Amino acid sequence: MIFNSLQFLVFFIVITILYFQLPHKFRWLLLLLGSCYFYMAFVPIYIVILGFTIVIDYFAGILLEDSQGKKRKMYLIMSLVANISVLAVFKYYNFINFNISEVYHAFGSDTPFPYLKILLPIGLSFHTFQAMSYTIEVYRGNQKAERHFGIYSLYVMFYPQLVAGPIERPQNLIHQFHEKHDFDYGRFKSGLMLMAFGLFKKVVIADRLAMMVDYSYENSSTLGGSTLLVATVFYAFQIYCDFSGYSEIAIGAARVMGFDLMENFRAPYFSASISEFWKRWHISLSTWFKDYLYIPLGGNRTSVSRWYFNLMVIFLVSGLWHGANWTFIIWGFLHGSYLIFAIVKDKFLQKMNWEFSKGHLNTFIDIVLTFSLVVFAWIFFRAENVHQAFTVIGKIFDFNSYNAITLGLNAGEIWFSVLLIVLLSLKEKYYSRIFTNTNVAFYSQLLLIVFFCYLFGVYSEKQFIYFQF
Amino acid sequence: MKKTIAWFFVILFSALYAFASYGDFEKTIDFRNKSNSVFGSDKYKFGDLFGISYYPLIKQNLRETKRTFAVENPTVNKKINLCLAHDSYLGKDFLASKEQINSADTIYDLEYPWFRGKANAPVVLDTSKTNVLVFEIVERNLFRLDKKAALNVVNLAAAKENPVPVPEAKPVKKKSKLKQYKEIIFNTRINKNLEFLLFDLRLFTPFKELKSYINHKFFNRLQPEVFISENQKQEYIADVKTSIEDKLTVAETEKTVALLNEIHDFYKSKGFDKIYFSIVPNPVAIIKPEALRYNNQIPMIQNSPNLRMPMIDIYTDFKKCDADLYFFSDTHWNRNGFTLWINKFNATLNADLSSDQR
Repeated sequence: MIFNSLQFLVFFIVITILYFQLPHKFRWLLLLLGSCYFYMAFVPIYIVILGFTIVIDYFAGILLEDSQGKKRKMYLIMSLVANISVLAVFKYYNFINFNISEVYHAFGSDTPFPYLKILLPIGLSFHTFQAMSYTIEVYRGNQKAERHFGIYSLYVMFYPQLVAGPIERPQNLIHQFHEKHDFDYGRFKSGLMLMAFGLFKKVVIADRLAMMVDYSYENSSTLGGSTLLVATVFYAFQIYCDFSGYSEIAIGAARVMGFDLMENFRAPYFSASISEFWKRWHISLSTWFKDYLYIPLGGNRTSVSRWYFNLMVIFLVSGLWHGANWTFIIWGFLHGSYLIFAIVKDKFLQKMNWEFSKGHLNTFIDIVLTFSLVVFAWIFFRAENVHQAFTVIGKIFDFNSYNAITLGLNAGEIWFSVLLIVLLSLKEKYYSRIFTNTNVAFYSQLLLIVFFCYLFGVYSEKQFIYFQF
Repeated sequence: MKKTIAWFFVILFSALYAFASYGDFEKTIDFRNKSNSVFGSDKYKFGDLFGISYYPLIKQNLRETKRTFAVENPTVNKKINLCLAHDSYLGKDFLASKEQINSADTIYDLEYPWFRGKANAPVVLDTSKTNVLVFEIVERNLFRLDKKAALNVVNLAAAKENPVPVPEAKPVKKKSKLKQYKEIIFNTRINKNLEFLLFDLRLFTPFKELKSYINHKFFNRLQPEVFISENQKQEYIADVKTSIEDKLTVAETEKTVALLNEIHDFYKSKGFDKIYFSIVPNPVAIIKPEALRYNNQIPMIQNSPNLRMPMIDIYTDFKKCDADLYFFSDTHWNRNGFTLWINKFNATLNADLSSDQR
């Protein structure tokens, strides 16, 4: 069930009203059943996989809390291995097998391992990571093991953030399921407004840009560099509006019911450095990697070479987390390299005692440079394969290939998209809060957004990009 | 009071969801199409392409179109037992025009036999009459015609005077209860059904027209399925299967020809006296073949030297005709197109029967 569907609209209305009508003791059950239905609406059978990880981690949490010493570590490792195994089988097995088979082919024989004919369960990486954060936090003693199986299941399955995050931490979410939330009109309004903006980002901006980006990348071998450059910049905004739109609908839907989910984006394209970008982009994932991988590896409190190594590991794993394809690994490698280069550069400037003023112009140049680097890396993220990515890059840097921009749609569509991007950027920079003081102001704005979504929205039942991860 | 209102909405939306998952949509569609109120539907009133695009500048009331051609209906002496496997082009109109068909006193109406997979009523061959089998299919669906379906189109029952054994019908596999429930609970059409229930109302037509107008005026696009002619007069269905994009080769044409021959020989052996095949051209193939770069599918098939299947060739007649033969906002032909087909059918059949008598 996707957020930009009528099915979700009706589902959300029924679940939300029922939630506030039921006595507190039954609400978890309603949310759990609703979440199961929400997930099963994609592919029903995959609820079994989710159930498997839930059972493993539920008991792992209790055993972790009830045991001492080496046993605790053993239970944690068992839980992590179980979770990673699920990911390995469903997400990475065929990729690894493909690469092994390439090696076998080089020696003139076929891979001895069969390929699995399976679909990747939707949002697998998201709920697996959320489940893993639970056992790790219980192990660290930051979270008490949840004894209520239904509540724990709900922690993993809570429908607003089940398939594409934000990847929550148990300390933030579990206690909220135990608390009684009364209907709060202020929260209702701000949640609804957030959902409407999320929908706007998805159907008006992201899906409009998707038409042009898809066309350009499908025809990358015949199109000119100018078109591919514009398409790649458009992709940067497509993926941002797609994913942040999803996150806003998720956060808004949860807020209407009284739940607070963590912020996932903070105007990332206004970052003046790559490290700042990662503090603003997919915050729930980047903090996950920081808390559970980067710091345990030693973070920056090690030798310089080890620090660089840690950074690169984080970004390579992050790339792999997004998808089992070399394109994602290269994307991760690029971001790791950017960060390492930035550190080396800063150290060099420090050594030379060179200081640049922090004026508006310098900040602007930094923002443009950071954006350019991020856009360059998106080429690998968007491309179907490495070959296509290099074709696109080759054309973008071949100025002789520049000609009239043809993105498969007319000029009106392109200029309207540019206008939307500019308006979005202005809103994110200067107008982060919508005035909802009076009911008239709130409902007229809400209606206007919904009407805009209808009038200018592109409806194609296109799934959110991050569902595939 | 608040509680009552809340429960009212829960019940209302739950009922809506349940109906969208497991409702009798055929009755609802029928009811909506007939209704003239704001809760009625404009989906089919102004043509199926209008119902997809809602482009306001091409909006033709299908009920108002008039026939300008006369039906030529020369009488023949021989009685005809007509079996017609057809799609929507020869739908209800054809049956209403039964008297216009050459003295056919029996018509077996096999509607959408190759799409629906449903069992049609058994056809009884009558040796005292000329048993005629006609296949009619629109060009854009030709690629969907497969051998297995085509050879099972006609459910032959025993002939009246010369009984032949009736092949045993294969028992239809019943879906398990679990599968049935799964299909209802996780209905994959639920979004389309909800859209139909909530928004397929005349009340919303102006909004849909506004959206369509803006999209076309500023962004030069409609729904992906619909194109508009340059003179803003005619809507076309997007159809890559008959455009040059589909790259129709001689080998592919010959494959279709071979299939048609096989169908012909099969039904000939089953006792039909005359078998005909008729391909209704897509509007774009007739009116503006260059608009979607028509791949000449029909002429390539009909001109193949290997074709044994007799064709009711309306492509040539349509190309010669200057009159409007199609609705402007619908994929189907209008009364003129339909009449031309009947005339061509009558003429072809008469010519064949006359030559047989000689």
